[in-house]
Amino acid sequence: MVDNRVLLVALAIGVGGVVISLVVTLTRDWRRRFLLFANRSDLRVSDEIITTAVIRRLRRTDVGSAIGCLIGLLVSAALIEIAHPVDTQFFLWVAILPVLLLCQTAGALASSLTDELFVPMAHSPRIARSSTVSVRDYMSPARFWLVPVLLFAALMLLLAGFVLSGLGLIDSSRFLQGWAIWAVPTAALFGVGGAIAAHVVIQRDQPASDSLELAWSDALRADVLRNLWVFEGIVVWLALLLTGISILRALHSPIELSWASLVLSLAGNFGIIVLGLVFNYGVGQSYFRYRLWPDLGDVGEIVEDSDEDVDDADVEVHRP
Amino acid sequence: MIVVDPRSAVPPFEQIRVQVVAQVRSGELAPDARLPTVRKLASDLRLAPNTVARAYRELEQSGVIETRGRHGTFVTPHADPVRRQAQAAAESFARQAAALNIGVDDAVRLIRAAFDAEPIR
Repeated sequence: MVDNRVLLVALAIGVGGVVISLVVTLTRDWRRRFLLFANRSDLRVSDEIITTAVIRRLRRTDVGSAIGCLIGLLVSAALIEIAHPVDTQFFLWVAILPVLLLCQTAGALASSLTDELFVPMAHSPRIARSSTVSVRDYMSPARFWLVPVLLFAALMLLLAGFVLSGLGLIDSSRFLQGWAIWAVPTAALFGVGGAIAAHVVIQRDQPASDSLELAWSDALRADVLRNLWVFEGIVVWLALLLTGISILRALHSPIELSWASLVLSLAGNFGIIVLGLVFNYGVGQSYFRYRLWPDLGDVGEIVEDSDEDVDDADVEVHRP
Repeated sequence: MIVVDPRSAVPPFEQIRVQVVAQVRSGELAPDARLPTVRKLASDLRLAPNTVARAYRELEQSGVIETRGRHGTFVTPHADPVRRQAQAAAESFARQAAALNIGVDDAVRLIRAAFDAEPIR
């Protein structure tokens, strides 16, 4: 009965989420959202063609993300029904959160990959890069290497667990029954999947008529990759935590399950906050601008719009 | 950047070829820089893959780019004008050294001595 109640609550939250996302999508001031995105990406001037296209993409991504969340909730409800977890808080961190984030990221990714940002007219010029780009052109080295380093740390911790088990310093049977055994391989699997997804994003066409359109296309691409890295970072961080907790639970005088839950909860929240800060702070959203577009010319000029006239601002046209 | 103007009288493959050559000459495309695949460039420029393939083929024939199997297409290292000039000078020196019956070791020693000489530094 308790599980059914949890299931119903999860479904109710899901339905509530869809209603809220629909209301947000319908009532949101998308021009303001566009200007915010433009400011963060350090691309602040555009014409109406670009504004309309970027707003359409942002809306699509938000809707895709919301639908992904709904699917994630439904999958989570099914997982609860199948697994009948004893410790729901622990289960929330090890299963529900990763599933929700996976579905949300996949939804946003799918909606951006299926959308064509700019469609050049038949007789308009077309522009393309003469050299290839990689994920590192859209993300600073520190942010790029954060996920592989965390994954490596999780693998090393897992290895340390095996060594300690072998030396008899921890209870090997308890360690092998812990979360670490499947958490680290799952995180590694997510890492490989993320790398493949990033490759697909990079290989996606970028039709554009001029350099400004291509720069905007890069801004949206950087946003997709950043979200992908944040998701992977959270999953790998959880794997690292679970491996550490598995070792602590396998000690000859192990920590209590309630303490383990608390540690996981606190450290999990801490990790999510830190990852959010790392990927949004500084040039987190505009690194591509310095890497790929260091000299965009006068199309990069800032338009000073006050809050009052943002809604009906006539966005200036500065196209070359 | 490669810009293709569909209204131009110049065929698209020629527009691509000329721009790649110009970028290699100016240094915008560095030696060993990797070019996009034929399919990727064609889809970005909304052209038929054959058009881009023809431009790449002509660039390869003129030695500006080279295909390295599955790794992709790259700007040839010798496409660097400075390096090409140095290569030509080295070849000329090697020919003269051979004509004067000077061995490789002696020739290298002469070059090293020339580098060590104050005026060159």
